[in-house]
Amino acid sequence: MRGIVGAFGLRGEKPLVTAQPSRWMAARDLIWTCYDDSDEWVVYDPFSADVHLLTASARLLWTVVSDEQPHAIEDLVATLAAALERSPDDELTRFTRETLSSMDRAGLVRPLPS
Amino acid sequence: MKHRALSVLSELDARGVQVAIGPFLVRVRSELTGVRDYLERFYVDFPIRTGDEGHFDVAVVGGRGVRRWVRPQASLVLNGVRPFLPLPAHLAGPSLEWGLNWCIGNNAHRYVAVHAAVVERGGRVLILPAPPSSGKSTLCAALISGEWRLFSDEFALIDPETGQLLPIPRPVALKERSIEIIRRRSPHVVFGPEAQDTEGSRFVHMRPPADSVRRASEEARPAWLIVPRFAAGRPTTFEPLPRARALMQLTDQSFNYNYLGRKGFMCLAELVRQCECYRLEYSDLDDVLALLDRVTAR
Repeated sequence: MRGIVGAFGLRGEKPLVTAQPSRWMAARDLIWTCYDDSDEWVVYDPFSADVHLLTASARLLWTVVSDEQPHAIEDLVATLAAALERSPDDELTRFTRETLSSMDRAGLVRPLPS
Repeated sequence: MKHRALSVLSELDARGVQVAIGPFLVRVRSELTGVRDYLERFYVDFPIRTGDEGHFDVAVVGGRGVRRWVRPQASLVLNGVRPFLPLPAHLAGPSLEWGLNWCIGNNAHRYVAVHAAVVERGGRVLILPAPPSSGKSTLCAALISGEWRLFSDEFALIDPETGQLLPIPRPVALKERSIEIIRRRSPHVVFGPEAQDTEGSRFVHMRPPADSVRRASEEARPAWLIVPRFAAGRPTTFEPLPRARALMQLTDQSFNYNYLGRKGFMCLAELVRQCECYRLEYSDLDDVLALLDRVTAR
């Protein structure tokens, strides 16, 4: 998305895709690192050479997305709720959408057409 | 040895001289007396010989035509290109350091380079990664005035094959109030004349300790990673820094880990794994030196 914005000079205009994507897939070949003094993760994307810091919950969400199957948002929320032993409520749905959106901007996941 | 090194400088405006600085052989050329004076003052302990080869070719050339006489200038030619605008001629000597920084940051991709001050004691390295004006050079200058060996006040140079840190001892740059603070603490050390850099900040260079220069081929392993921040008037605070965040700091301050791809990232990730990591805020050097003595003695 950033590439399209830069290439066609659309900075500041509305994004080309405005609807919430309903299915997601994880980027491949990322390199993950964690240490024993916190539950945060550092991920390196060899294609962009960018490095990102992720919370344990975000890493868990990425792991769920990464099994090479396209995932609908409802499935992701349900799986996450089970892993975190909590209910799949609105708050968790909002967290899931926002985290996916952040990971999309970082290039760690990508939305699929419905 | 020192006498021979100095006599070799007569070749500066002809073939040039080769200066061995850590793992690099640097060819230096200049017809400007400011460069010669600078080398005599700060590089007297370095191996210098005549030669026209090197990893980096650094030439400091004077202005031509009217610029030889009216507001004379000096230009850096680095490996054949001029990446910077001309400087006032009185900055010819110090510009050598800025040129070397450019060469290392842009060309030394055999190593992972991080913007950091680095010192060593007892075979263990303390890395102080931080952006400019964080007080890392001040802290570094104070540490090497004690029992610490200077690796660099500018670069942590890591061999991705071994994970070892390589020394690259060079003159330490001090700015603004740090100048008086370190002059008071280290009256025996050789300092250069005070000048203003291109951003208008007062600066001086400080000659690196002879022992650090002599031991410039002795690598060492990383042990501590401390992210410093000078905060005037604030008490010293020192707290553990989660390693994941330390790794983010390192990648943020690295000039070239992305050039090395996976290898560069893994090198930094492994370095962090080997280090105790902390965040430091300080204003009182005596206080922080005593603290670092305690922490690094464990």
